[in-house]
Amino acid sequence: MQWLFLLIFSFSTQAAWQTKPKQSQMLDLNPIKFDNKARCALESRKPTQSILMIADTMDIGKALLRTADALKLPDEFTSQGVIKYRYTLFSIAQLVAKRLLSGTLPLLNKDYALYESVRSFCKNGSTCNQVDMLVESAWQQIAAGTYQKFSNQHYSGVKCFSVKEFGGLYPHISSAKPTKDTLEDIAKAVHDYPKHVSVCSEDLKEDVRVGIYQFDLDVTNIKEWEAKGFDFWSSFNIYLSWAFRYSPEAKKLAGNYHKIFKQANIEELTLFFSNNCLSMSNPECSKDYLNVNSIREFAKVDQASDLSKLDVFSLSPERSKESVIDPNNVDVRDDLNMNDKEDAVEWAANFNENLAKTRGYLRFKLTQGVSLLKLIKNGVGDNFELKLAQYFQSGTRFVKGDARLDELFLVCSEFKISQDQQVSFLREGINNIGNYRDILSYSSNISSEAAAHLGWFRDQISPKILKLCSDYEQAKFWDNKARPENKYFSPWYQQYVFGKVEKRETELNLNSSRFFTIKNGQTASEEVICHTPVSCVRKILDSVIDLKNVSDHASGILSLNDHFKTPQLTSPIAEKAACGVYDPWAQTKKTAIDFMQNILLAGLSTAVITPIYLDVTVANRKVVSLDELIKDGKVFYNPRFSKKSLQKSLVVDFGPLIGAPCAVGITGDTLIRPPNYLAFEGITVQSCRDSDRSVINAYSPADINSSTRKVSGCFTCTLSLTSVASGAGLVTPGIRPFFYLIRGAVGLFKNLKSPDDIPRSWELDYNSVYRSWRRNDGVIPESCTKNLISGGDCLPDACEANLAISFEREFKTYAAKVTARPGDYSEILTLTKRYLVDTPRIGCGSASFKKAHFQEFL
Amino acid sequence: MKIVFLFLIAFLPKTYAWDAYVELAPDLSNVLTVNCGRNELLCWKLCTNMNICKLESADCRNCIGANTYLSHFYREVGRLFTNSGKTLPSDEILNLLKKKRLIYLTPHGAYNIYSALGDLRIEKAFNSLCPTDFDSMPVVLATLTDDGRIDAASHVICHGDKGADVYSLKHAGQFLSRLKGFLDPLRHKWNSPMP
Repeated sequence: MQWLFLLIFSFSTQAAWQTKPKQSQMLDLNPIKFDNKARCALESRKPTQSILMIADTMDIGKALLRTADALKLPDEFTSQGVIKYRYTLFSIAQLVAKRLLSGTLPLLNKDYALYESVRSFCKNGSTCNQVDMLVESAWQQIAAGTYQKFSNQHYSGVKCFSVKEFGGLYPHISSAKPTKDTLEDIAKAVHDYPKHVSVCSEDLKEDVRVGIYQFDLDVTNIKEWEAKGFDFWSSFNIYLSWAFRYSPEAKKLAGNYHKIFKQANIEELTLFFSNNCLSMSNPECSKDYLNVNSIREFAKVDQASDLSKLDVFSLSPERSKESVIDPNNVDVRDDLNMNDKEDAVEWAANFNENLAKTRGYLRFKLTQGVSLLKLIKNGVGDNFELKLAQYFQSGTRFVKGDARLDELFLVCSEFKISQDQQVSFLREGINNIGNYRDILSYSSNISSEAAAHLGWFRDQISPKILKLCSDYEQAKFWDNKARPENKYFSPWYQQYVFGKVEKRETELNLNSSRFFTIKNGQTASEEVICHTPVSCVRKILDSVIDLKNVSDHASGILSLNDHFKTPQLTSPIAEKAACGVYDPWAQTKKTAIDFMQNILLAGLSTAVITPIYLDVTVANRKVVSLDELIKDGKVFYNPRFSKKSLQKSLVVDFGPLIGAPCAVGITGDTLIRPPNYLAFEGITVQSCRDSDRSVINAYSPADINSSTRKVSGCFTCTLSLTSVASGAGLVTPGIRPFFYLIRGAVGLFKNLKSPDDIPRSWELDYNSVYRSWRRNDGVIPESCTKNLISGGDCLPDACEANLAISFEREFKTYAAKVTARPGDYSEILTLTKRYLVDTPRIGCGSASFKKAHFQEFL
Repeated sequence: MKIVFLFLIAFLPKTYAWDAYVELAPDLSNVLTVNCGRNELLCWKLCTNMNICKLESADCRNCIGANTYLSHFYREVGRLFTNSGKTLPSDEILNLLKKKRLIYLTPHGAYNIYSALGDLRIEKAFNSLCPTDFDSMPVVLATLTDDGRIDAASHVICHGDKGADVYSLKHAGQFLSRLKGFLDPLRHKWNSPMP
């Protein structure tokens, strides 16, 4: 009876359950999972059940403000509209997810033949009204409920929470393993959870900038979920696009604002990302996937600081690709600055602001680039190439000090580098812009113009300039002429050639020339577009480079084909695993091989007396480059690995044999490893050759000369006077096997303890942690940590735990709420006793208490 | 009877033709109100009313919030988007206004989140689209694609003492026209090896 006494005692006197819950309603968030690096990489290939949604409402607010201004409406019109927008968005998202889970909407996957045929039809270039029509028809059939349920087992629903603070409830995003402190922080956060999260229906935030929400799915059939989860999220994506705009439910929720809301670019204003290492879409080593994940950078930079530090603003080539193959950059967690900005709304607002600014920049560069190409092409007339040739001819008469002479030098340098084999990424990027669907998919109008004018540049202008410049070079035109200062080169040229941008907007003094002008209606004045024909082609080249830069980054930042972005923000290991840069099983394999090798050597050494030692180590394969493959207008990367998989070392210890204090080793790699076969330290002389160094920075297959045979290795000589003595001992047959066995055991222990590279995870339930914290006087005892991070409870008695857990589960209320009811507890005792008598074989620790067992004494 | 009526008014002397303004309806949709003069047939042909027609704007998908085309339009109106100088004949005006996929762009509407509220420069830019300044702001007509996305700001309604005129817009030195059939062969060309 001790267990019951404890519980009753605790309820009546508050002695054992000293910390009273602050809230009666239980926190209903899904359990959280902490994954180390290897586990996180493995988990990224599975679909998540918990996501976060950032809803950007700045633009909606601006549109509403303008509407209010036109109709002379009060400010409340705007603030209420923003609240209503968010309410409509999360309500429809929740509705779509519920309907997909319950089977009232069909999954849009390959099993749904009608969807597959529509999808292939849309892929052929026609507009995709058909998808909308299909979705509409599915939505209208909801009442009929004709589709198979997503899960044949238990279906609970979809929970939605408005996130206010990250501190306490989201430690799994920034750390890989929970500690005692983490658990206490969680418990404290749960104790006062309305400060951190609230159910969405209670969300009345008036912040016009942004809202952040969490959706948790209750899925019990994990196997089925793992098979269909990614289809679930892609279907969710498509249904939400349609339902927010056109469903009767959205119309009802949005009320008067519906006309505005349905014209919103919701796919760009809304971002979804997983709340853990699992993903919303299957990771792939593609440009789109790397680009969309690279937006995590926006969380790291404070909007007050210089945004130009971000990759997208730099002129360097495809940094996202470069950073993926960087072997030094394999952190399991990216610091998303969530801890710095505990206020979740502030964090999301900063993130969104950065994202919005970058989108604005890309849009500007895209439209500006295309417009300038068009303006010049149409404005200067058909004989532009002739005019260029004439201008180059007249260039021979320009005298020293004439800015036009400098300009000729600049244009030749810039065009030459743009087509140089050495910077193939630039040349290929420029020439392939038209192949990428990104640049062609923003607006039909802009796209068709972009394609047409880029073709003109590639086929007509660029070869012409290169030819004219080559003629100059052949005529030794530049000999004895001064070179213009670096600052006059285009910024992208300065970046590539000089490694830094000295000044971004320094123009030559060409004011006397007015080659091409337009009338600017905004200023009612004449605007010079280019002073000379050469200024025009330099501007065109700048625009093309800008368009290449846009093309490199746009797929991750601007919304394409009305799809919501679903990056894996919380873990960069996902793309590294997808691209083969990180192998989550590598350490496990290595551990097994190392151990087996030591066992084998131990066996061999008993039979063979030799001072020769063999060491075989499994080397992690390295990705040396990512080859580009373009498929259906989408760029995929194919990792190219280094060939070595085994590192072999052979060491001959001369000490015991000839008395020379020298051990000579030959290794098949360049890792400088002291000969640890010997129990001494000495001076090591080593000579290494590294075959990898020359190819590590390759960007395309063309950059790798694979035909050349390359050899890596080290020759090592370790000198030590003690080697003679210690080595003599080691070659004794009786001792050496033990040496290998001990080394194997130590190695196994050490390798298995690797915190990052042997897959490990810890799941914990918020309420279990909270329950244990309250039961233990507001602390988590060290002894409890292990139980709790394994998903268990830490109450002193199994019966007490069962009663408390059963009560909380049945009533969704924290157990201590029972203390609110005073009275004679003998009833409970009798009742529960009766129950236990009725089910004597179950026992109190495993009995299943239901609502009825409690209700009689509540 | 209807034919006789139309025949008769066609020969009456014209004083004021027609004009059009954008208003916001209570359901927050943009409405183009077309007022017709005494002898003008445009309204009759548009909505079988002799005096007034109210044409509701279509829904433009992704036009509220950052939009690539609209951000470009509002930044470059009056600079790269200019009046072509060509007025539309009345039958073409009718066909244009009858289009289901048409939206109305004004300096301070919900579609313009790119300039500050009350910014006078945008009014100046809009005014520069018309030959003469007038009290009422010009209205730019933009066509939508079949799937409801913005296609092009194609025309401008300019006001004057004798009513409105519709001009086609040009963009960056060329009349706007859909380059249908132009893109695919070009894409093919892109795939060809470098010369």
